[in-house]
Amino acid sequence: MLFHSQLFLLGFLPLVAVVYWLLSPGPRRWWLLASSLVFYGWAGWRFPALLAGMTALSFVASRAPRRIGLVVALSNLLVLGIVKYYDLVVTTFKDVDASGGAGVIAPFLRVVMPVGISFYTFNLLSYNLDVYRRATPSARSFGDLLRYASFFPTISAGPLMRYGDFRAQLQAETKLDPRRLELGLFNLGLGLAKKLVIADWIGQVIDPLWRSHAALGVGGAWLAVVGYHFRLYFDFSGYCDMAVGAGHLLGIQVPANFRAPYTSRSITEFWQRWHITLSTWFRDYLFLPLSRSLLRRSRGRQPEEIRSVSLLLTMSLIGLWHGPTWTYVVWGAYQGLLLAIHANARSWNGRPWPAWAGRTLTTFSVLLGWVPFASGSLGMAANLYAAMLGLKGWGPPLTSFPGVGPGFLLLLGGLVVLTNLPWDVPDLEPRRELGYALSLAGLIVVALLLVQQPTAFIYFQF
Amino acid sequence: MSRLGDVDISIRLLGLALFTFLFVRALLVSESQPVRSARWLLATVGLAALSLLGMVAGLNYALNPFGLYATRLFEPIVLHSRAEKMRLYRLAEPPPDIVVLGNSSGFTMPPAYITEMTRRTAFNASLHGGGPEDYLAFLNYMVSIGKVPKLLIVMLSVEQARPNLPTGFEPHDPLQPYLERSSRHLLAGARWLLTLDQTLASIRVLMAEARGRPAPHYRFDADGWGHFATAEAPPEQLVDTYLAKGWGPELFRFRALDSDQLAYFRRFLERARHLGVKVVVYVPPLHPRAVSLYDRETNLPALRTELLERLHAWQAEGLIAAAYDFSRVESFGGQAGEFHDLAHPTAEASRRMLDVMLRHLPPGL
Repeated sequence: MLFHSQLFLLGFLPLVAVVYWLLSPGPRRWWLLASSLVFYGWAGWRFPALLAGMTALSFVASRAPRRIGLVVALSNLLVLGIVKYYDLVVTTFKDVDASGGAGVIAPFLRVVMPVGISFYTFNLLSYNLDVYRRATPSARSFGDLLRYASFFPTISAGPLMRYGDFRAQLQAETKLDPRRLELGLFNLGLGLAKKLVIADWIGQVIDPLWRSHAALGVGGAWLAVVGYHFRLYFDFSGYCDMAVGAGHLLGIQVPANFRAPYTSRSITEFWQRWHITLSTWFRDYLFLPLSRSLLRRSRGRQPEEIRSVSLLLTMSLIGLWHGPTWTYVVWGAYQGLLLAIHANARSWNGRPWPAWAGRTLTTFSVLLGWVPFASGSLGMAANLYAAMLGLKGWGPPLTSFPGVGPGFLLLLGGLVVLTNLPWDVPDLEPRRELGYALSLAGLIVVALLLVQQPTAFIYFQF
Repeated sequence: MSRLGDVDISIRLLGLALFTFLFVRALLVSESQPVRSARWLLATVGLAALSLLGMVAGLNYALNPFGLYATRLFEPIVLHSRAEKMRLYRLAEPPPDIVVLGNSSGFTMPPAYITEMTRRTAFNASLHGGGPEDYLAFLNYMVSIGKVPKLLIVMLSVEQARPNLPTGFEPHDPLQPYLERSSRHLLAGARWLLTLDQTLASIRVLMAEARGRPAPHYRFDADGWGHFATAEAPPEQLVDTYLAKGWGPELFRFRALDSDQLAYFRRFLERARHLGVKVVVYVPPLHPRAVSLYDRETNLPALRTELLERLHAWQAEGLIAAAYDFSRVESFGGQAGEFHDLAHPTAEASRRMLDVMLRHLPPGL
């Protein structure tokens, strides 16, 4: 079930929220669990079955002796690895074999990847790691943990939540707060508009460009990449706003995933503002422990080298987390390299760059990174880079591409301004003014009219 | 088309303007918020949104541009073919021996060419948005007027067997008495009350009433052969337009063929066998550029395999005389240039397919 479908917006969500607040706290929690399982099982019962199985593993692990429990918990990563990455490994070995190499060939599994598996695996893993580090108590029951793992506003594509935060909120929130409903409606409206009005419009225009990448000249290639730059942000942050909105309707504060990332003046700042819950997950559970461990082993020597290696490794894994293709690994390694360069440059104590220069350079670096991220193969990425550099000529004029007219150019121009404004939605509050209320209602209606054959959010594939 | 596109862009720009206003206004924190409660905002937004949605739904229901509801204020603007094909078939004399069934991709199958090759009378009964349930209904119709052919050449594509296949294209569908429909269609009709497509169509109805109706997109000869109106753009550009609108990769991202549509098709085959009518089935081609995209990014290869396996199983059962896979243009010697757009082959391509299918006519014809 998609957030921006009529079924969800006009049926499922209102029904779940109304019944949720009509029930007393005990039954309310079971209602939430049942609703989440229906939501997640809408595409097929096998998905919730796998989720329940992995949650059971995680629950057992949290009750076992610490070290054994950690090993058991990490076996959820094995499940993720099989479902998501096994075929990549086989493909690689097949490629090596085809070029006269190793000669190891195994059959493909061709498993259908369950939506959200990367997200709930990492949620469960954070729970087990927090229990291991004694940062949170273990779940009182399997139902408690399954409620956390299956929480329908976040199960499809995050934002990642910590078990301790979720449980505390579920226990604390006992009565309906109109302020929460107001924020819920506001975030749902803005998220819906980000997805349906902006991201899907850009997608309609740039998807054909990405498909015919081999024929693009410099103008078409830059249009495709700049369009993707905005589309990805509005698609994913639109989804996250809706997740935050749905959470508010149930009295749960879902953490913010974006804080005006395109206003960043450095790549380090960008990663503090982009997909925040994923980057903090990797920071807390991989980068910091890894850096500390390496520093201990080196007895405090070569801290800059250790930081660079840790950044490269962490960001490459973030790339791989997105999917089983080398393009994501290249994208992640590129981000790690940029972060390492920036971290080292800061320690040289040079004069800080002017804000406009930092912002321009960061935007340019991020844009270049989207090429491998959005390409189906490294060859395709190389092809696009060549076109962007002008090695494939000017190509046809921009206005000859379907959908590129004054309206679309106005959209892109408007987005350049909007994404450079210094704040972002999760902390915004609606104005209690008549004009504002009517505009919000109008926006919701426009967005609902654009729901026809909903296209999935980009981050559902991860 | 371009005027409608302008309306579409205008609505998106309106959405962008509203979004910008809400976003920027929320950024400009003033010290004095009006003394209103969260309940006030919720009630105002809810009431205004419900009123606007009610107005849109009411407009669409009253104008009924797709002929989905009971209202009859204006003539719907839809692509008619069922009533016309039924009328032409009733008039066809002598009764056709060979009938082509399909959706609009089959409009260009030329009956005269079939007659030239087989010395048998032929008719093209392809219907706009036609699918398995229409085939069964049209066969029932042919039986009801006593004009049952000897051979049916039937198209079956993956997109015709997809889940939630849109139906109900025709206002006051004249095939309705020969159809068996479920409550699913009522739900679909209600869902369409709040879509941009139907709202734009409602605006078109009003414009058509004020300025006169445009020429139809296609016309039919007496033998049912369809001719498309001259396109506003070159085919290659139309392929892009199709991919950007309803024929993007999303179309083929489902996992399995729809069991309801397959069941309809099987019932159609059983009915044909019961009547002693031979059936030849073909999987129609799509533009090669679209096929390579779908093969790369969608589940189409697996779905096509599933469809062909199903066809071969029915052939083994004796329900089908022959099955042909023309999903790739090379399979019948066609070319990329022989398409009107992404999904509609030209008459030349249709002749090539007929050359292959009619080379070996089923025995007993």
